[in-house]
Amino acid sequence: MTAPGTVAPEPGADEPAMPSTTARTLRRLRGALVAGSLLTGTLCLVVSSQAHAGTDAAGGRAAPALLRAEAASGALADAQRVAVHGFLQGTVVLGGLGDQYQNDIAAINQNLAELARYNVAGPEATSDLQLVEGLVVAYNAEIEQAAADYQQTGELTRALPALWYATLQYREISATLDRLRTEGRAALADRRGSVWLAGAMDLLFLVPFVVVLALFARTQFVLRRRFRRRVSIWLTTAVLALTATALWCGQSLHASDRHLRSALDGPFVQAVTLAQQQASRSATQAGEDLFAGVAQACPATTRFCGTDLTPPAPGPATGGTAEDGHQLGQAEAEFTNGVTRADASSSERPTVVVLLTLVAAAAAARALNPRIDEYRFGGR
Amino acid sequence: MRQKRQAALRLLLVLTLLAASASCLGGSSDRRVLTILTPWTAGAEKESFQAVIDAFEAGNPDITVHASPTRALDQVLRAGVQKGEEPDLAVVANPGALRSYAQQHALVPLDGFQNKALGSELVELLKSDYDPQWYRLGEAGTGRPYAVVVKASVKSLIWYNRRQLATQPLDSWADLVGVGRSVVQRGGTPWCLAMADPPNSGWPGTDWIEDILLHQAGAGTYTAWVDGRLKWTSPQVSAAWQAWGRTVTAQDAIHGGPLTALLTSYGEGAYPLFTAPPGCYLWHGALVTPDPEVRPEPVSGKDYDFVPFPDLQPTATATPTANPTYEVSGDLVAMFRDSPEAEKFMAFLASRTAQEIWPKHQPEAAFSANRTVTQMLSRNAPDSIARRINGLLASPATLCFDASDSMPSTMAAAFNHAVLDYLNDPGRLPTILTGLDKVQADAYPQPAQSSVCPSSSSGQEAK
Repeated sequence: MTAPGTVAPEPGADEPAMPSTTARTLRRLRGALVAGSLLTGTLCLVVSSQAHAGTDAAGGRAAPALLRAEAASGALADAQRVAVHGFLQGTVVLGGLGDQYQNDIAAINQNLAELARYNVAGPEATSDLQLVEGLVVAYNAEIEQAAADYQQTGELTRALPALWYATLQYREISATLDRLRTEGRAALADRRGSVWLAGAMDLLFLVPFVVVLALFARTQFVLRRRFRRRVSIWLTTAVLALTATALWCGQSLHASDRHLRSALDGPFVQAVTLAQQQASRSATQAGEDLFAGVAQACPATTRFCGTDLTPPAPGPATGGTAEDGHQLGQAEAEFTNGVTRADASSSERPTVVVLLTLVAAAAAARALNPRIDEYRFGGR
Repeated sequence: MRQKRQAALRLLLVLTLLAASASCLGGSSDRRVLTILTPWTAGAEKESFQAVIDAFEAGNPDITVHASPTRALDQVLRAGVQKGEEPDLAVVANPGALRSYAQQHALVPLDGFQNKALGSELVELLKSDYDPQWYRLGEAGTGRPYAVVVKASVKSLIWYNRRQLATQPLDSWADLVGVGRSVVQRGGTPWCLAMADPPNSGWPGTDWIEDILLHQAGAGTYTAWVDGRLKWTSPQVSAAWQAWGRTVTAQDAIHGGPLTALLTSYGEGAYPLFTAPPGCYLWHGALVTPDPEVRPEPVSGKDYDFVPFPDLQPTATATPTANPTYEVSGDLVAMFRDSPEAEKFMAFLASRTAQEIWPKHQPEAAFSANRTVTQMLSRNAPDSIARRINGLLASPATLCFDASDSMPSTMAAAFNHAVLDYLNDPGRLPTILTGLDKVQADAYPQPAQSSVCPSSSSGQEAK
């Protein structure tokens, strides 16, 4: 415990017998401890803030953008499946294109709007997004033209040209969406690979922390040797406060990282896979139906009327089931929850960090002030 | 000890600076990116335009030009303009669309550049090196220059299989009809036809009808029709449709039949011309593209050749033209967002350097509207197909711009669709033409006076 009262300074045998040297040492130690404590707290806040921004960029923007691109792709494939099936079955004549088709077109537009809002993959992606939006309008116009031609004549052959033109547009939209997805994956990998999420930068605050701890040890050593103070309650408070700051910071960063990794490697991957499987099934079924329609109208001797259609490979090809849709929704919800938890962990109570840092700095200053004052008064 | 403490303090300072600088990672580059919307989604056209861009970037290393190709150029551009998210530059689909954007004040006129000197220089170049009709094409009837023609095409060409038809006369319409009949008698199909090119499918058919009307009824009638002063149900226009119908809707007249023509992509439409035995012998249009997988690769002038579209037996009301007439088209680039970089790129596109690039990449399909380039290319490689087509452009001919490109966009879209309808059911021609008359009545709110067939010619100007 710190003994009350004034104790005359006793220079060590190996130190020059100049009281001002010890005072200067104490003042420097005080300055270094205060600055180091503040730096540790500041870096903790900076690292937390950057990790929070990284979590938002990867989990809150890049990953959802990729999900929206996958969803737009899936909705497009389903729209094509529903439309082509309607023409092949002849339901378009009386039933029109149907609610499912209209819902798919609405879903494409909604997903594209959300994708535009995230805007994570730079100007090239923005440009691609505008292309897709324009192409979807053109695609829908061709499908509606095909429906009108079919309803007017009741003959699939009359509807086939516009349906084929829509298919050519569909292919271009799919190719552009593929490009968007590639850009989205690259953007996500880039965000995940940022120094604040993947590197050791998030441990930056530990460097001043360790240095300051060493300075605390040195200070304690000086106090014990020069002033015979075995324990300084203020110094101990400062060490404890600073250690709490570091622990708090490390724990929240670790929790944030764990939640984000878990969300991105688990439900996110599952949601992407499910969306891709659904889109693939819809595209396959649309291709089979279109091939059947063209084969019905064009003899094989004309190479299917100049189209590049080839007989589809046998395989399971059914549209997305309600169960698939449920699983996809569940995976997306789990992913969103994981990102929310990661976000909350990285931005948890910054005021606590600020308070602990200030306590550490103030306690460090307080611990050395009486000893420095002794020199000041002693010098008078 | 003192030195160690100082080192520790320095370390803390360095760490602080590191943390501060790390938080500022990812600063922006000074390189300016220009976006240009184009219709060239694949193949030689895309590569050729990229070569033009590469040449510009080589001379302007601080500028990157990002081309966004799309089939649905018109839809994408219209949506972008409406949302205020237009590209820096765009290839405008036709003079009608150019006029429409100019009237909406969405375009930057070439004489309104921020860099006045560059703008004046560009307009002077367009007046001195380009024929007046190409300059007026960039004005689109607005009185101010808005666009630069980056590529010109000659549409009045009939391509044929030279190995099979070398000995046949093909100089007149009657010759072509005769060749068609003899091919059918031999069990073949004379013509290839391909209409699919969404979202403007049907335009190859409109080119056919325009060419027939131009060469049957004359440039005056053609202009009146483009301007909406001649009805679709008029004898002249109706006769052009019927002449085309006799050519392509007769039994065995086209490869694969009408449905194949409707479903085949325009870019692949001429492939059967090069198969063995040939799937067809004749092809109409600005360019002929052999299947890249065909071996040995067809040789121009040896395996295939062209004749200019011949005159037809004139109708009673035809307005004769002294010079030969050819239908041509031009791809127009206009500026939607003004910036020093965009102005530089526009000026570069009009320059001789840029205008030479595309014809060198696609010598038989792409031509320059720049007279000095055309004259230079027409002197190169004597007897080549490219030289002969350049010769047509440089001759004292009347060049008429593509009619559907010059019509209001609603009219052009209806024309495209009417062609598809007609191929599906030729018996509906009277209904189709009546329907087009109705569209015409709405599509021309004011009487138009276009310069679609200007009387001046490059040859005369050059002389």
